[in-house]
Amino acid sequence: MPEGPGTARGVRAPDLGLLVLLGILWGTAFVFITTGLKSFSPLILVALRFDISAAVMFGIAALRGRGVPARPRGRKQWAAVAIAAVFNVTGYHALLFWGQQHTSAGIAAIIVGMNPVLTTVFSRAFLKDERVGAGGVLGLSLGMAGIVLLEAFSPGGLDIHGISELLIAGAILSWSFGSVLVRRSAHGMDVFSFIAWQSLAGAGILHATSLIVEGGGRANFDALGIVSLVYLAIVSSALGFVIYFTLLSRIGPIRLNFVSQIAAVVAATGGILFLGETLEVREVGAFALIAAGLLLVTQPRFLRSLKETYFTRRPDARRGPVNRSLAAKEIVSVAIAVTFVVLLSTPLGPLPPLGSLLNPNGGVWTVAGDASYPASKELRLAGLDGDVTILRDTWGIPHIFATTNHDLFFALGYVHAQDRLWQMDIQYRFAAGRLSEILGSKYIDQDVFMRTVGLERKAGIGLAALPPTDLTVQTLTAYSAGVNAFITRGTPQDLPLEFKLLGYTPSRWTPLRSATAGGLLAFGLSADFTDIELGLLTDALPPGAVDELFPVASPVPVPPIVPNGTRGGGLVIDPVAARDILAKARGLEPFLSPFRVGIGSNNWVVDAAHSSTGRPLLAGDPHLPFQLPAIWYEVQLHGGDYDVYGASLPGLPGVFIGFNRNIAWSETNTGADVTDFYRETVNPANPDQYWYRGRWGNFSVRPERIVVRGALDRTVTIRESIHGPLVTQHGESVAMQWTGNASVSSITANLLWMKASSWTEFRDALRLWKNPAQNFVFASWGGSVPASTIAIRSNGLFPIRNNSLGRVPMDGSSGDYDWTGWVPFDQYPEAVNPPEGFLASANQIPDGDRVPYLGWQWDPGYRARRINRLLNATIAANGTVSPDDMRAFQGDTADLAAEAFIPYVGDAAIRCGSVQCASALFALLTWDRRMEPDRAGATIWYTFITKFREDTFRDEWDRGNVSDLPLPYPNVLERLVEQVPNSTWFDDVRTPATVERRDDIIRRAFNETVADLGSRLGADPLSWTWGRIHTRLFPALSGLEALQRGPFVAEGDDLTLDPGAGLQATHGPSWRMTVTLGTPENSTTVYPGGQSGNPLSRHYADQLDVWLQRGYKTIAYPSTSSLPPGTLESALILRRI
Amino acid sequence: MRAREILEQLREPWWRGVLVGFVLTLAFLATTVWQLIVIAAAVTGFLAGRGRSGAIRGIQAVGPAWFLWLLVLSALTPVEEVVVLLGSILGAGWGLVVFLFALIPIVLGLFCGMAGGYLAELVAERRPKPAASTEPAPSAR
Repeated sequence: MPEGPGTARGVRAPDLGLLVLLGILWGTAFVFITTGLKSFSPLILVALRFDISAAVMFGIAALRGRGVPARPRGRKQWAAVAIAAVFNVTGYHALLFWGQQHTSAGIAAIIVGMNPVLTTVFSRAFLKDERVGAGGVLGLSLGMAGIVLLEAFSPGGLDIHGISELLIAGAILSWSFGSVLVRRSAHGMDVFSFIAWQSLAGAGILHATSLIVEGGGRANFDALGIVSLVYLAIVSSALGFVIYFTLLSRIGPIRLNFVSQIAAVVAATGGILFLGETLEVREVGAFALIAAGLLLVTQPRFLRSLKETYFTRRPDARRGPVNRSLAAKEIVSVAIAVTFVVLLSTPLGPLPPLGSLLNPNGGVWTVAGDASYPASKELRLAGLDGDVTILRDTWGIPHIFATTNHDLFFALGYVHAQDRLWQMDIQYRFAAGRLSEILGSKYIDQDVFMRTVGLERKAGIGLAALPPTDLTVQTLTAYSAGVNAFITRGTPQDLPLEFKLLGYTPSRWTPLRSATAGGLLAFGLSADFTDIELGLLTDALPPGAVDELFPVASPVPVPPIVPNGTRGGGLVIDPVAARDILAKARGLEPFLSPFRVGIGSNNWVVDAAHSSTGRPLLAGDPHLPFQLPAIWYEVQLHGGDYDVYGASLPGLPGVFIGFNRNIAWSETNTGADVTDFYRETVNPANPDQYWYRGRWGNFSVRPERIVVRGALDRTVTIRESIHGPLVTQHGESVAMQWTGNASVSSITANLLWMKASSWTEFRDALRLWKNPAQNFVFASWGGSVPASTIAIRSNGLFPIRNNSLGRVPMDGSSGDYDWTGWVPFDQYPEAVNPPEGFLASANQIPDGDRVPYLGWQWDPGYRARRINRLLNATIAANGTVSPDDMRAFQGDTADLAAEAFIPYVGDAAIRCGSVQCASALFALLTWDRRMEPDRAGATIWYTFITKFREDTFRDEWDRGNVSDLPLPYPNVLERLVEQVPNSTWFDDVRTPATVERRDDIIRRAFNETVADLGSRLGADPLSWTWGRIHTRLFPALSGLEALQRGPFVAEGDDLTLDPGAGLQATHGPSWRMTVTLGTPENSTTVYPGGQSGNPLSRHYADQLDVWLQRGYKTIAYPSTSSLPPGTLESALILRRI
Repeated sequence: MRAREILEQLREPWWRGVLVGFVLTLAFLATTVWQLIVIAAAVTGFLAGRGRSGAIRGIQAVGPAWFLWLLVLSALTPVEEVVVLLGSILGAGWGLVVFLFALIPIVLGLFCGMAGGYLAELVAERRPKPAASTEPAPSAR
């Protein structure tokens, strides 16, 4: 490209001023593009821009008396206008505006700064009179390196931002290509006319494109949008082009190219000042590379002088064109290398960037380095009051010794992060509805639902209501500081494996995150959707069926507060709405499962008088889904007001199940009904209103923006009625009312009871425990038998309902079924020091006599019956219960349902037509009712009861098209078997010619059992041992099979004290603890996992081996900062700076 | 000493350029920004002077440095366990991990070294041809 006049003399000051002004105009254009995109969709914005530009240019021509700009004449000129309209107007601007939706103004301008480099090189490469020199090649390479720098080091990899930047790169390719083609056309039109006509034509193409791609686009003519549009069209475009062409004639195109670099600086500055954007080092580096490339491309004389300066002056140096073959090889090798680097720096589907993953320094290899704790280490950390000693025993359990409460919880946060950081992060993200940020669009539905529930928002409200001096606020603040101390002490290379695999880094932990995690515990253990299921069953089954098969009171005789069968006021919502809610709830299962109660938990306590040790004994084993790393984190906290040992939850500051020097406690889930659903009547004329108590009320409406990795952000609108958030608007609008996230007060309760020393103090702390409702079992020693206490209490927040039990969805418009208050604290079920000498809970009905309605989904009661029987029998036989007895009870596998049903199998006159059948029947009838892996009877029983239940109810469920909904509990079937042998439920509706009775179905189910097991396990029924088909699996929280453990042969079934539900059990006793009050150091614990979340650590699942054997480990519970000899693995001293 | 003379010294014998690249690779790996090793490979290739030999020299410089780093790490931590774990996560065994790990320095060394070598050729083409000697050849006397 020939240089213009003036270049030989340099640039004059007025021209330099114009150059800078043009850079400012074009640089600020990027800022106004960003602001304009808030009001307009990209294509319509650029189309309107050129509408106005074309109008202005035609108007100027008219004002000057020239009429319209000179029309294109001939095919050449029309072709040039068309090419410019397609490539320079439409292609360039459409891609630029589209890409700038998800990238900063600064980055967009930096990339556009590559434009003159490409244009110059393309010109020289494709125009006959131009040459690509070494400088051109090198300049292009530097420019491309700048682009690669932007993309390769982008934190999100090839996410939506990376894609947007690539679109902008495509824009400049379009411009460069179009510019070359226009030059080749040699159209001869005057510049003003050419620009006017290309703007007009381009605007037309853009409108058409907008119509097709955007459906006409979004155009919001608000103040910001109008200002942005006018600025782009008139100031940046029209005025900018006038200045551009003025300068073109004065200083020439080479120097004029540098306006793009000025514009980049202005754009970045404007983005920082006015748009809150930030500039990263890589962006500055990219800018430098592109600017250097521009210099080399456009300043061949400069390049030559550079060479002459640093190499021998060569007056006879060879001139002439570069060896094209060599240049091509150079370009190809650079391109391949760049492509490989980009590929290695970009996540490919589920795989993280392989380059970073396999980097010898800082890749996945560091996981091995973090697999063991250093024998001795000192760290200086800011934020401590004094020194903290953390001693890890040979199980990796930290024993924390501090002087203040602050330091104690700081250290707890530190070790939680050290061992379980990713677990904390992913569980928080699920609770807050932020999975899509790291896992992509696949988890949008889960995030939308969790945003609807609003755990984080409600936790924030709870925290904001507390003063800074509040115990919980101070504790959470200290805890968060400890977590962040761990996060910040290392580099991204030191992160756990899952962060490396997913390619993200953790952000700072906050008190809000802990409170949100607490809300997840509450949600998982108390929010349930069985009202929806009952509603669907009500519609599908005969009248009265739901009340009979899902009674409020247990079939085990307990007088209910509200008579059985009183449903009161419920209605059946649209099945479309019901199914939508269930689908959303089921979609949460993979992440909610750690906190879902599968079949319940056990706890019991024996008073001092009936204990072989002379002091109370307490046992607790909560049943939760298995996961690795484990749900619980074992810890001792000694310092400030606390000296406590037990199971904590990563993310929360406290020991949830455990003991201190004076008391012990454990929990089982109450399973109270604290969730109701209301059909809201939405105003058809206004979707933000609903009918309530005789008038239209307004939903509380809030937008929730969900950031989605690798895709566009999604904004959803959450509407809340007086009852709660709308969880569906498919078919009907249904609101969910739940006792809600009271996690903040629950955290406070935990902090208070951890330092309690008596039942009075413990009970007082429970006033703050709202959610989830738990059956707390308690024991204290007090120094003597009379001073000791055992107690049990069902504690939570229980709504009072008028006119309805709320077992099915209700009409929300009348207000007649609203909650009217809360059950008073003093009316909660409670027992203290009973004459029997023991108390036990296994999720059975708390008390049906003296309290209002609490719920109906009680455990069938087989475990409760079993533990009561064991305790009674042991006391009757020995006078006392020993710690070994307590541990044996936790591992008990007697199935009392089998005890109830099997006699009826024997009485059903099964006629066996084969030796196999007779052998199976014999094995069943002589079986000892224990679900042990070596028992054939266990297999036959389990298969039989499954088929018996199916054969009894499946026909009605199928007929009602509700096959995916749960069947009645086994205790309901037991009642039918024992009391209603001619129940119509036994009749198979698929055989209308025959009326089946109980024994018919028993015989059918048994024959099916023999056939099924024979085909799967072989001919000999005695070989059908339970261990052949019953296993336990311990999945990894990450879902990676390589990190799971099992399957292992397992004992137990759904109804035994030692449970193993389903054929491949994935939940069960997540923690087993027996506490000897008075000498708590003799207590034993075990859980199916390990302290570390690092799969290469020997503490990843070391306790699992012990747990699988139904074994226990003795604990260390020192009162001074030292461990018993031979038990110390690591010592970490935290010192304050 | 002029830059050109330094360059000539580094080009011969061949191992000097490889050594430069090897040291550069180790230095760049120390920054944890693995992408920088492309510079090391390109420099090695440039010192090789030709495209094809640059490709080979690039692999010779980058590959051993890449592996050496991990070798040293394996003396301190159980790296082999990571290989096995990662292989099982990827679903294809430890062999795939080893293959991918080796592929990175080989490909980068190859093409970046090649690019450096071709660049050296391009630069060399701009140098003057040595002038034809006007001195009579020494004759046997």
